[in-house]
Amino acid sequence: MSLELDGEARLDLALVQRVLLRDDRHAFAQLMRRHQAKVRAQLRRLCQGDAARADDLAQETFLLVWRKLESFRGDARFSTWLFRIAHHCFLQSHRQLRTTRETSDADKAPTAEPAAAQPLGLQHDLERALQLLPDAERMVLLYHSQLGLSHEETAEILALPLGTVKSHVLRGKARLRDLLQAYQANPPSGVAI
Amino acid sequence: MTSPIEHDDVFEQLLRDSGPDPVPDQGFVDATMALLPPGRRRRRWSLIWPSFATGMGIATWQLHDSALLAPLFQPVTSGLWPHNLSLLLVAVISVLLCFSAALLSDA
Repeated sequence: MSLELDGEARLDLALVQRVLLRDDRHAFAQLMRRHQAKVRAQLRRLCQGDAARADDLAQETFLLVWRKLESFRGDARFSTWLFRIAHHCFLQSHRQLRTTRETSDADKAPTAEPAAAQPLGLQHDLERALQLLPDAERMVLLYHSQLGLSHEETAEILALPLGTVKSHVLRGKARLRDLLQAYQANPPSGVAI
Repeated sequence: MTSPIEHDDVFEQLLRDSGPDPVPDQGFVDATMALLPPGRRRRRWSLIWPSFATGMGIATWQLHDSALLAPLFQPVTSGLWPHNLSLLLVAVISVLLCFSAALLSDA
């Protein structure tokens, strides 16, 4: 896959080279500073607001990146590769959590109290509607529509075929619209999520 | 009257705006840097000498009976060290070291 690198991606690549060639810890710290905000935010979203768990996963992600940096071949953006590792860490932790809570019907329930303040109005409805989507569609929309990544990058992060990502985006959006229209036509009061 | 979410632009904007807000550092980078294990590179390159010795050992074991090399080593058994044997050894060692270095860099 050929890749057009913009300034940001080229800077990432230069920092990666410095870490690899000179074992430069300052370059790695700089890489982390550049990306921690988005990675932690995305993990918080995936962990449904559990900030402590998300930060543990973010730390695990960056430690893994330090160990595996040689395997970054530069055929994707560094940020895509990083999100892929973060997503992998999340999935592993999610599976472990599921195993320990197998008896409870925890699939759709939030795993912790949301840390952020509740948004209002349409945004609030959207938050709720997103939680009602099937996991695969919600994940695809999180990366593609909310983080603004391309279909290709989303496919790379989630390890899904490109066609599947595109169809999840279309289906997810259609389902979201239906849910939001239903909310607007008939606003729910005190609906438990 | 149409709902705002029926407009593609409004809907897309709504989705983008609902994306996660970036999280401020608040010591995260420093805390994670403190957990990094010491230099990866030294550990990796320290493998080169054991790998080289193992390679040489296997090569000697495989080739010591070879009819091809026997004439070359014959003078050594009688106490002589031919000049071309030194050159051959230097060449073999250089090639092996370069090969090991290339493999380790790739890995």
